Amino acid sequence: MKLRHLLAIEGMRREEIEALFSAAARLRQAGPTAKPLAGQTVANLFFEPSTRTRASFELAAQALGAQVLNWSAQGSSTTKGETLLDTVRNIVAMGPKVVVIRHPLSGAAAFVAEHVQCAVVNAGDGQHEHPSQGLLDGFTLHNRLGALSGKRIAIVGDIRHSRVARSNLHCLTALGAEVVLCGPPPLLPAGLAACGARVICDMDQAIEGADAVMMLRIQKERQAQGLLPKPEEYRRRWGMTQARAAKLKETALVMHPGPINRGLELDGEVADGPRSLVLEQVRNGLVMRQAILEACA
Amino acid sequence: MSRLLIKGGHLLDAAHQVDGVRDVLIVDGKVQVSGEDGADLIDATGCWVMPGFIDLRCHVRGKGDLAAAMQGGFTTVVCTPESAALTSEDVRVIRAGYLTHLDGQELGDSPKDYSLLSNGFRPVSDAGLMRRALQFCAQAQTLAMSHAEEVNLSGKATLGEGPTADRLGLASSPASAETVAVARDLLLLEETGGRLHFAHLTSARAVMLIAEAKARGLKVTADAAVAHVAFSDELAAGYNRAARVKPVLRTRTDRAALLEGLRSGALDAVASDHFVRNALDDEEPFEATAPAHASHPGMWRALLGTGLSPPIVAAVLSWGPARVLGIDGGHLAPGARGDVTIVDRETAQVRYVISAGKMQLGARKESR
Repeated sequence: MKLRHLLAIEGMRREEIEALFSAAARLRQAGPTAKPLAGQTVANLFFEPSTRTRASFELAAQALGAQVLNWSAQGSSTTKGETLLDTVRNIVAMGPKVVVIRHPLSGAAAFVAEHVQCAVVNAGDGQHEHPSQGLLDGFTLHNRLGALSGKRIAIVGDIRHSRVARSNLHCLTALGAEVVLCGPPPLLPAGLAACGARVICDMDQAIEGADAVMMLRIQKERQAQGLLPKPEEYRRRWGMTQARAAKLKETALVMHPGPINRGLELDGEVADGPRSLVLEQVRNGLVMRQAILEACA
Repeated sequence: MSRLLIKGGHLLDAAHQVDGVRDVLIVDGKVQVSGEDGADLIDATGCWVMPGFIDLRCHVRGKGDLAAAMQGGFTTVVCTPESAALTSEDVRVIRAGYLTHLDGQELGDSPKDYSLLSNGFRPVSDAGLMRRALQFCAQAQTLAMSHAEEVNLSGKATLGEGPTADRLGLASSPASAETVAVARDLLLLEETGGRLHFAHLTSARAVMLIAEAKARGLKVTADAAVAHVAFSDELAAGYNRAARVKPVLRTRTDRAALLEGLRSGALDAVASDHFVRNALDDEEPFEATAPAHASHPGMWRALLGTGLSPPIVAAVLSWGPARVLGIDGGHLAPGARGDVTIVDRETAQVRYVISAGKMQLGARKESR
């Protein structure tokens, strides 16, 4: 499995996704036996605050023998007077094999990839995609449910602003799963139906018969923008409460990319309960990111 | 005496329903019927001969922008109030004054000093201020031009609402960001009287509102910009910078309605919205770039590519905008201003541009 870049899951073939799953499974089983990135540098270029994704990529790179260059820009490059491409040219001059980039604008990773020779891994571009998250979520579900063809997965929350939702949508539909997107009307873009999703506002309807429900983090500042109802109403209508979890299929799983707002989109009891895959997602994130970096090496 | 005879071309003059092979004679800067003895000849065989194109809106930063207009066949351009103060011997430049101050509550330039007032690519968000500006324009019989946008609906959008924006994760603007503002200004115009022109409409519903207002007898006109006539939001796939225009690109359905509006006369003109991209914008991703569209040179070809017929394209680039502005030009009957644009029918290249009887483009080629 070789990747030139990892910019988006949209457009990836099923075989490519499954090859990454196999690589991640091998790495989880046996650990990284070779050090394909020994003597190489992986540059983490973060234009947005991130703790877990960045740490996960850092550990993954180290596990493959790479040294890690961590570069974070407070605010955007423009506020520092340097253009995005100038920042990237500076990083690239240090000779990394792979640049892992997170940026607040949609399309930023693909834009950078057009201008550099090394591999670019998108660690989240605006509201577009977060492909490593989509792949690790798909991998986690694949491990638990087997082949995802015909499985029903609901994604609930702020779909409009979620790159996690888009990457999962493309990953899961490529694998033959049925994806239902759900959230409050202003946060539920009807246009994603064109990508093969069912778009349903009512949560109880959306999660009916689901094999897994993926809860998204709600950003509380959206409430001040009039995009969300009050927290209590949000929890009642779009939260994975204990009561709602009890009505799920017995085998149904609950996921969350973190960080969780306990008691808002996800009740603590459910996050810590037997259905929850939250920590397994984090563990799988590490091996999936190893698989991604290995494929880019 | 300067005499120029344009021979053998296919004349498209919407004002007089001319669509056939006719010669055009220009004497001392005006179209004339007789006196062709000793005239310089232009062989326009195989060409469309049209009134010089008139652009209702472009942003002029330097001489290069006026040269681009000339290459596109424009003999008259209206530039935004924010444009550089340039004049030209080749192109007639009409400068729009400010309708309002861009920030705050004040009126802009005096309508007595300008033939039209506009805020270019920016809306007048305050309805009360817009109403007062329309009152002053009505009293001075000056044309007001509206950029119809409700900013509370458009927000930071870089594309119209639809599957493309949703898939790319781009903030999008619903059609109501335009229609709410169009409806507002139409209702204000009913009270104030005067003439109002809507700039660069993008949505099917807005075209309907204009058609209804015209049917009611309101003195209202409207244009679409070439970008919205030629492209829909799907152009943004892969974050194609060509799709980063203001106002935002909308759906195929909206685009089809603009084309239909140009055919039916609900829309009067196509404007270039020519605005050259800042070189620094090539250094940033799609959403961080300023909207721009260097549209002047390729206007004729772009519009023909939409499937509009040559007579319609000629009309929306000449007679239509001339009527909106109430200026001389836009037709080629005897006595008319000698502004002529000659385009090769086969290659769609602008071959000659004649401005007030003077050959501005193509002259050198001919003298060889």
